[in-house]
Amino acid sequence: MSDKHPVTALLQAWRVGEESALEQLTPLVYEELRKRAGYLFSGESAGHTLQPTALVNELYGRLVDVEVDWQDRAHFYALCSRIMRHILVDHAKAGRATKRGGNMLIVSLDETGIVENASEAQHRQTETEDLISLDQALQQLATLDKRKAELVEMQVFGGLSFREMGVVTGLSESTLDRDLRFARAWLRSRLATPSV
Amino acid sequence: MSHASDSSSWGEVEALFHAALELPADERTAFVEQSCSTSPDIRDQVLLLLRHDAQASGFTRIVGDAACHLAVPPARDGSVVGAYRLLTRIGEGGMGVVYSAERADNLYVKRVAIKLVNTALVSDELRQRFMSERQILAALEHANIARLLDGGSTDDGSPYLVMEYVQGLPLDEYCDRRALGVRERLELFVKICGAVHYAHQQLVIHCDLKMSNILVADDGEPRLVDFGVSRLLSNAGGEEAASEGSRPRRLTLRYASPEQVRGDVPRTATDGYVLGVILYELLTGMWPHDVAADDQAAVMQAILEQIPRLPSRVATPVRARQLRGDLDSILMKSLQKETTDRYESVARFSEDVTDYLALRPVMARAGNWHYRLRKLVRRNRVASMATTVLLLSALAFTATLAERNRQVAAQRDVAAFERDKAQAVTGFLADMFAQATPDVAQGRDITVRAVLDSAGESLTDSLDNSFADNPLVAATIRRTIADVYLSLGLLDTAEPHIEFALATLRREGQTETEDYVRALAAKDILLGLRFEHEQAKAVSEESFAISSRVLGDNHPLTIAALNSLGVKHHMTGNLTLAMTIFEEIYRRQVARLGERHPLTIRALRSVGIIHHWLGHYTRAEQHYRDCVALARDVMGERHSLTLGCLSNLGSVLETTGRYVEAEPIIRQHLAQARDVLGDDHPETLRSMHNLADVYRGLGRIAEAGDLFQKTLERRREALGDAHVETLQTQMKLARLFRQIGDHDRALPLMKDTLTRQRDTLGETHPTTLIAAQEMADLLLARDEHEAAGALYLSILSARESALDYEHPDSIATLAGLAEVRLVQGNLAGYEQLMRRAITLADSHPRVSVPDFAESRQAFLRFSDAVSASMPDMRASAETH
Repeated sequence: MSDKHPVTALLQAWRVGEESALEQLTPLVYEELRKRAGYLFSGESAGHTLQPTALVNELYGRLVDVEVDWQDRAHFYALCSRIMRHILVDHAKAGRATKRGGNMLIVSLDETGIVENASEAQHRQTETEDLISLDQALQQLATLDKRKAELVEMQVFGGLSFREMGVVTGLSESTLDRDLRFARAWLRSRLATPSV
Repeated sequence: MSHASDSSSWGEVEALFHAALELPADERTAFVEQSCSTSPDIRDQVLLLLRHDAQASGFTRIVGDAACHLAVPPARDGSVVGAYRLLTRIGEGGMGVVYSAERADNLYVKRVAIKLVNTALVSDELRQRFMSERQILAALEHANIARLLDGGSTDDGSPYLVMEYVQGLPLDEYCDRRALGVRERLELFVKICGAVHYAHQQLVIHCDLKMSNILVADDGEPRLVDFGVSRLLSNAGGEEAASEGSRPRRLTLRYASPEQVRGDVPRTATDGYVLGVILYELLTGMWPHDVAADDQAAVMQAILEQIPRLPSRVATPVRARQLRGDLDSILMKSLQKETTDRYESVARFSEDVTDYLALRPVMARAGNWHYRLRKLVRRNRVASMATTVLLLSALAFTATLAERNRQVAAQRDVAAFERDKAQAVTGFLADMFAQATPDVAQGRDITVRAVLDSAGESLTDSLDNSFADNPLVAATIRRTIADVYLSLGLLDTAEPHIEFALATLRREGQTETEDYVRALAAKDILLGLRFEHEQAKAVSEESFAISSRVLGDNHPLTIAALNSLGVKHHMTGNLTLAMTIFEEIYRRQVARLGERHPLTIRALRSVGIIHHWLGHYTRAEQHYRDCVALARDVMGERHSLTLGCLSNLGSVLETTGRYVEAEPIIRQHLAQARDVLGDDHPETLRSMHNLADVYRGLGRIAEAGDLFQKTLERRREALGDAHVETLQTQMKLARLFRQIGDHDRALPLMKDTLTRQRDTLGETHPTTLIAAQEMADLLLARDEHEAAGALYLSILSARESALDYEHPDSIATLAGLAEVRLVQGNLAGYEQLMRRAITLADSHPRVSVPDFAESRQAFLRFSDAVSASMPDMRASAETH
């Protein structure tokens, strides 16, 4: 077996049931994902065309040997989706605490062309809140129905297809479809009317 | 409102939700009401979920938005960085965050902007590079560039940059808020160009120009911010990414050039392109391409492949009038896909805008390289930046000259020698450029000429000849210098360098090398530009022979040499040989590149052109039609090759007198050429000429006269008085004057045409013969029979000595000479010549010769009369 990256071996160990492999795997992937995310998203300006799912895809190509079978790939994606959610939420929470200078002076020294002024700051604030609300709703969902919360996490943060989710969870496509439809409707209703 | 947050009812809610979804939408509410008649709580929950079922979730957007803010480092408000205290966060990007700051020691009050790079992104290598390269940026001192003041590392190791604090509005916003007109916008733009060009001379490329990086303060002065910063960052990041096998895009696509989209190394021309996009937006309010901004793939494709919309077409009607013509051309030129088709430098771009503002003719409208060259020489503007770009790129890869030079001497290994030779050459060029820099700092235009001259002197000065040990390096440098002189049109200056290179290579026994082939090619160009075609032909032959041996039959240099040889044969009137050569080139290009490659299509077009000249009009027409179809297919309707072939097709239809067929084709070409290439482009003028000819053929004499006159004026201006195409129009105008009986106006035009053509092309060149024919016709019309007859005879004998008896042009010559004989009373001669003319005309059924139908009718009437009333004369003619 190739020793291209320890991730490959750990991934295979985890899939055949070695839970300790997951413990080793998570920090490795976390660090990579965070670094790459910071780098990759920095280059994107308008349009937000680069989604986390694309990043997961890219990371997979770099960390895992090409010859691993696609079930490992599905597991890797599932893992990444969880980590990605943590990264984004941690960051959003840290950002919420930040005091911002909301003045109208425009100094653009940035690569992305995001010129911040009062309304932009407002906008960013909203984006941060959106993600934190989504995360909270997902947490509530998990207390009611862990499986559904995990499915949404895989789909939204990791971009897993039904087939990949099927590999990870052992569920049929029709079950996945039903579960996700219900879960998404529930989350939307949750986000539309925040609990008091 | 209650939520399904109670685990006891969860299963029931879910089951009802799915059951309801099985039903048509309008029956669901009733179903749920009925099913939950005893538990309103569950009913409400299910109905709520159903309402949210069909909606777009927006989850992906939420996650994407959050991801975009991932790279922002934590806040540092109030903390001290170097000598500065951070005040407030005023902007952010992926690579870091920008704070306004002031001196922490309160020594003096100065607002600055500090950019902190995200710690997570910093590798040791990046940090090192960041620190060393910021020195370069710190050297940028220009009134319109925000200065880099300082830089360093924070305690936790993040690099930071201290920049001048600029207060102002983004360029577009400034222009719009002040409702600036075209002129004011252009004046601002020229200032911006000045700053960018200054940086280019300091070898700094911006690479990330955009509206928000150009701020305009209240006093109306634009300031460029972030100069080169993105380059530093993307260099460092790019390297890191490259080593990992995938290079992510870090581009603001809206302001990206084709080469950036392709992932090529940005150059000064990249900034030039982006300035074009910016100016386009400033003047039209639109992006150059008509694609949805959020469709990234379409945007990229448009940047790579789409010709921008003509600015005057997208602007408001009021604006459009100001943009049409010059500004259209300037913008279209700046937005060319190939860097070599754009302005040679931002300075040239800016100069054209300035010329426009000063109501001088602009360069962009010339388009054609030859035209530009001539213009350049005429205006004696040798400070062209064409080569500055070359020097700049040479500099970027430069190693220290002296060391390399010593190494070269020591090298035995050929490959290493070649490599080091290349380095020595670029190193030398870099030195030349460095010498010129003090001039630049004084604000003078850098003159490539001066740089080259001093380089040439230092090389020829034997006392200070650092290349004495390396004659081959010297030869390559001299040849490179010669190439630059040639591109500036400085033929005499180029010559000694070419001769030196050739002599050195011969002395060193290096004649069987690519260097020697290239040096020969330079000589070939030199001779060609001097119209010394016979000599040039010998050089083409030699370079072709060597290139074939050394580089092989299908090497681009070999084929270029062969093509050059074909052109020489064409120019010297040896059409049969030219034909053989172009057919051979076509065969090789088909084998090498396939039938649909642009170079192959060009070769096919050349074959068609020779057929055209040889009078094989049917075959020429077929070739042209094939070329048009292929070029249209491969390169699109508006590509210059497509247009060129279309023009040829129109021209052959005109030549053969098929004016009705020709008119729509030429009109189509003319419209497209005007659109794509501009009003004064040689290709456009060619089409105007052809159209005038068609009018003449159709008997629309007044229109033809006007158009010829206009074309002649433009060609004289654009191509010069002696250009073969100027003379062509001059001759056609003269013919028109003759046909309307205005012989006095025709004569000086014809005399001038014929003299110039004999000088440049020679007595027997096909083009000269056509002019001679027209001159003879004019002389005949003026009743100068002797002179006319002599001229007709000399034309016929020239064709016959070229074994070209069957050329359709001879129909008119024979008819003309026949008429001379008739007025001279030589009826036998008349009859004999007319019979030859008629036989020749019958063998070219598709060719229509002007006025020949009348001559023929007259002859037939004469012939009938003769056979009826003068049998003995007829008999005598036959026995003659």
